[in-house]
Amino acid sequence: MNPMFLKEPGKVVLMMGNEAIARGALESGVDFTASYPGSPSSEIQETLAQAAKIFGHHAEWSVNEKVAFEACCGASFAGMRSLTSMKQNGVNVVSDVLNTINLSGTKGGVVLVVADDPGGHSSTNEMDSRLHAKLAELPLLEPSSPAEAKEMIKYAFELSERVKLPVLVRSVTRISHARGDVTLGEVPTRNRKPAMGFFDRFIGHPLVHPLLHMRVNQAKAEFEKSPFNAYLGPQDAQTVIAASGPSAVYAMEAVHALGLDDQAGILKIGTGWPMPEQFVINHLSKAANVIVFEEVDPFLEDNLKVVMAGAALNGVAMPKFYGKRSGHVKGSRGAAIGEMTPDIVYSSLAGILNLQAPARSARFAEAEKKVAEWKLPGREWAFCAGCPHRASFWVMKNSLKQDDREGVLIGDIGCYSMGVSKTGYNLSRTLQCMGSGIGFANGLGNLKGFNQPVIAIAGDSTFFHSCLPGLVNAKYNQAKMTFIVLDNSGTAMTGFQPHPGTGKNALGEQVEPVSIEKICAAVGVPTEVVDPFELDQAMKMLEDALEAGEPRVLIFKHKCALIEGRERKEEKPRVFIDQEHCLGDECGCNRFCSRVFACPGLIWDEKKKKAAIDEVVCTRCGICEKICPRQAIRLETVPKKKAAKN
Amino acid sequence: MGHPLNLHKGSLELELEVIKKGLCASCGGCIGICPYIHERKENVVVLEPCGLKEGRCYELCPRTRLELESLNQEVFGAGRDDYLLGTHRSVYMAQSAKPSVRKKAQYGGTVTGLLSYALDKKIIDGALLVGYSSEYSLLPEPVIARTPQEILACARSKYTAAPSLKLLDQALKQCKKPAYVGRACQVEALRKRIRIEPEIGERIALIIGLFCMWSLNFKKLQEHLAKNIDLSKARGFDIPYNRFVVLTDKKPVELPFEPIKGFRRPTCDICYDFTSELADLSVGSTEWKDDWNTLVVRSARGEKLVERAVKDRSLRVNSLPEDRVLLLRDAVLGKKKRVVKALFADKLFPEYLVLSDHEKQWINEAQPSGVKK
Repeated sequence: MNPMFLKEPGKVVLMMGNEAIARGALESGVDFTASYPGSPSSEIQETLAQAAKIFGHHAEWSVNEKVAFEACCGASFAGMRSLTSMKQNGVNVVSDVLNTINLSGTKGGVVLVVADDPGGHSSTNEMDSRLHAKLAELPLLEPSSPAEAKEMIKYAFELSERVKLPVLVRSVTRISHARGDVTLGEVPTRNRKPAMGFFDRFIGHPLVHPLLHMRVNQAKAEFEKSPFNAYLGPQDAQTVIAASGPSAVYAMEAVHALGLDDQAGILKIGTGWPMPEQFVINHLSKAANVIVFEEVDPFLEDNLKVVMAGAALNGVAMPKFYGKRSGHVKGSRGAAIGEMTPDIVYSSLAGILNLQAPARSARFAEAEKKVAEWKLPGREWAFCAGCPHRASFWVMKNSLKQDDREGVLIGDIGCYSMGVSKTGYNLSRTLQCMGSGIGFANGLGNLKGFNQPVIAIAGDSTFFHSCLPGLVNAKYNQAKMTFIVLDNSGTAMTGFQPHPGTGKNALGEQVEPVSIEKICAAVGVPTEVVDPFELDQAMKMLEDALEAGEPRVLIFKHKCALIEGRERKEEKPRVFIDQEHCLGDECGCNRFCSRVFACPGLIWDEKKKKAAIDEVVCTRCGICEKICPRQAIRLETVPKKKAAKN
Repeated sequence: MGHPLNLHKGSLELELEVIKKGLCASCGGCIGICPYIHERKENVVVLEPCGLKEGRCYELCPRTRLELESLNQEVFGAGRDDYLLGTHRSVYMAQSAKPSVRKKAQYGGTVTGLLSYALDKKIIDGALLVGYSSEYSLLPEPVIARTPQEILACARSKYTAAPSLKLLDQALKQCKKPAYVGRACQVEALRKRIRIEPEIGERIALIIGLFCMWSLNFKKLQEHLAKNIDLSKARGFDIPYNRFVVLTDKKPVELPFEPIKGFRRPTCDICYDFTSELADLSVGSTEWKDDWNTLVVRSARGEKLVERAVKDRSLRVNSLPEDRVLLLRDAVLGKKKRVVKALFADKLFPEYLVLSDHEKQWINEAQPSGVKK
């Protein structure tokens, strides 16, 4: 059994932060879980889906974050405990209902876990989602370690039920994807019975706004005594370092390394919103200097300043604040940009306190030098070998060129986001948020005097997530555009989660697939399905669609090479370069395969001056066979099983 | 390959100097030899820069440096002895002797008849021709014809660019000694290609050039026709004596000719070669007798084929009356005067054409015969 699911209270297990969050939900006896995947949050729901078979709670991949959260609220209305998890962008999708459910309140505990992505390792922004908690006046918790994350989830359920509000828990990449020791607690037997009583009504209306303030104040009162807030170090220290999330741990490390243990205090804030005002005043009123570390925005920093400014009414002196606002805390690209790191904490503290940053150990410097000598090439953004998106972008690039009217490609969110870079021939003109591509195309496709054809793309999962209104709008208002669904049969970028079109649910059970083709056809937009590996056919269909000057849908359907590789049972024919046919640098094609089509499986043999296949990388998809103008790229036809030798 | 290129330019310059200037004749010569150059509905595009400094694409283009004098020497072993009709041995009026061919073909069916005859006598074993696309109405589609039926199916002129040279390399793979039929620009491109790769010249058994005053832009024509007729019913069209007739399933439909003229490709206005002067045989309308063609016999092998076909009663020829020859020469002179003025006096276009001073002067000073139609 997965150690995360053990019923052995007291056992210490090494867990990923996201697993710890899932474990926290299990230890809360969660009844209902619904999420939409997105890095760095995806493993939470994946773990909960695995756990559902053991613990019996509901687990689903929903079509988007809003539906997921609303489903959770629905479960709450019937008195059940529910949890949803998402990345920071997801909270924007949820934000509409967040700002009405706060007024109506909820019943069973509702926890919204958001895993922010400071630095945008796998996101189009590095938005600080904590502002949503403040905007909607909802309680917010910020864990500093996987172990604390688990405890905070348990507390969040209890708090949610006491104040009758959803509670936000903000993780970040370095919590969600870090690993740490987590002590298992008890998993209670679930025995709640779902029911909506006569008085269970959830009406969002400004009339009940005072109720929200009352509930927030109730949470604030709890936070004043919360064990998630702590003060470490000498009492009445002149310098206090305030921090939240992983920054609190970085601060502890830095204070120790800089020999400040006896001089500086650390104020760790785990309850991000509302502020535990009295707790803050108690610890900052004697301080002369306050230095603030946190992920992305100066959220804690601003809130602390507001609290201290308010305390001035009672004669409390305002300390000096050093942080992102003052420019004392910043990374190489500036303040409030990118991830917080131990290095930034070290250098900021040293700078503010006029200290020498501790030198790296000699061993580190030696290793650093050695690695530099390896001259490792930087890893480019690139579609995998065998990726259907490469074929799709090849088709779109060539078709737009053949159409010869400077047509534009409007991108969306998924693996194909990389279409903005070389791997997608720099074709995509936009990169924003889920479903925005078809929206932008609605505008461009209805501009009088704009004669450049418009292609909007979206993946299959993105299609279900947020493309339907855009498609209906395009039909209704006759936006001239070709909407291409890049259907690779999965939510590939976030780890191959199933979606309504795949015929599988979060538990891996077979369900009737929802047909993208039928949906589009039902909207009344001419819809065709084509395999982008059939390059000529797909190009012709796209060029016809572009010339038609009306809303059209093309579904480029070809399974993700990684999913296909996992499912494949038989070996595929080997791809090889016919050395006699390949003219190498003598050919006028100028390395058409490796330089232009540029699948990572196609390489150039610098000794032979001819094309070659990197058989470790090649997935044997066979598309390059169609690319070579000399037909020198071939698929092996020899039978797989050699006859037994006599 | 292996023969040096002389112009030292590549697809980048081809795109800048020819395609982007609207001077591409859409002959197809650069398409089949290069993975970077494609066409859709006769519009040629360079998909992306190939990164090479020079290439056959630029070298063989009929709108890059075209030395008629030296090409003439290479093709016929003779200089340009006739500045109007080009090197030729005779000018006939001709028709296929087979009523079945004439019925299907345009005018006398001379090209269709000669190709069938050559195929039958194993002088050729295939022909790179142009039929119609099965998917887009009126869009010509290059065909490698290997049977008399396939040749017959390609009868009749197409009037848009029909970039059939894009299939030349395929035709050379499929056939040992193919024939090629095309417009003057296509014959020029083919001769320039043979200059780079003489082995291709040894394989191509016959080149028939078509008289061509201009070809039409397919997309513009298609757009125009779609407004006036049901395109799905159109089966072809004809431009007899400045009229425009669309052939349909049922009755031909005549449309005003004037707007059609506006769809001609701009590059045709700088074409110096109305009668395909570098072909073995050149064929066009007589603009006089509807079931006959004008046939210009240029090369020895062209002459031999015509003589055999006549002897075997596959082809009928008569000498073209003197006044009809003069009218043809007048038409050619008119076009050549316009082109020489545009290229060398007004300098409206890149000076791709290389003419001797003597030829330029001769064209400038020559006067029409005065014969009336």
